Amino acid sequence: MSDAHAESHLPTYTRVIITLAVATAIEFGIAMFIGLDEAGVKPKMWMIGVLALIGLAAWKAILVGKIFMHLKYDPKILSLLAITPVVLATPLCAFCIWDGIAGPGF
Amino acid sequence: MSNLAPIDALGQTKYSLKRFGYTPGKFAMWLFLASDAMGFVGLIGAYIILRASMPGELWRPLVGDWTEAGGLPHLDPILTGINTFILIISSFTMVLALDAIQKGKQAGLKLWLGATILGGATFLGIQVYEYYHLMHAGLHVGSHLYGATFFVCTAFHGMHVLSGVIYLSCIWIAAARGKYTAENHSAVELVGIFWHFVDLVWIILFTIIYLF
Repeated sequence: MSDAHAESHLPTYTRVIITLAVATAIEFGIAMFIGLDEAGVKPKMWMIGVLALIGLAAWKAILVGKIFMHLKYDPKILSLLAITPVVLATPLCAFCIWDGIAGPGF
Repeated sequence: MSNLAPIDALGQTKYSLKRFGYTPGKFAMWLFLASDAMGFVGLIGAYIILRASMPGELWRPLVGDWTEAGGLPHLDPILTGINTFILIISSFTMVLALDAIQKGKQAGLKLWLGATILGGATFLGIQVYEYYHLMHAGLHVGSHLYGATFFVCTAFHGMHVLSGVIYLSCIWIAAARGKYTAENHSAVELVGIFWHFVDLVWIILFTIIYLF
């Protein structure tokens, strides 16, 4: 099989792996900064750190999906298929987090 | 009997590629991954709501009779961070394998597929090591919701890694027999998509379970 995008993406792959490594290092930095076991001490900073960590993880996942899994180069219908669970998961997770905060909470 | 001429698989694949821009195998793989992702969504959603509704020590008791030491043990984000890095690198070696066969390089395909298998096996080895130490410290599936959610989420992912390593090994054996060429390497691309999915899910799981 040879896709329409069979040209080499090696330089892009290299840039992505470096970006993923750097982003993981930044995640560690944030995790250290917000304190793994002191969430109750700085709740506001903790929440900002958590949002930053989730944002970085989502960005890394999008990079893997778009570049390594070739969604950027493939027909849009495959991206639509890939994004379906995310579309379903987002309101579910948003509700779960809201419910957690509204209940005994963070 | 039908009067229609038989359609060979490769001809059908080429037709689909020309007509739609993707092979039937690739569409099927994405369909499978979309449904598989629902399973992860359920587990991650359950983890989030349980954790959000149990603040501080309710989530991970520091005292009590849960373990020999009393409280539940800490997870080791450094060790698992190294493991995460290994899985990310294995995704890179997977795209190098695909790039090699797209250029018709059989040796490169075998080398990078082998490196990907090694990365996956190393990840599993470190996960087993982590489980052994946590269980030795007294953390089990039945040790509080903390233990249950941790083991269920990470083991469900671990089974995917194990499946991926077996799947990759099958492709490596076929590659060693010279089955794939620059014109015919659909199976390599499909195993790659599965492997990257396993990596992608771990990126999310690692952040949620280990980093905060």
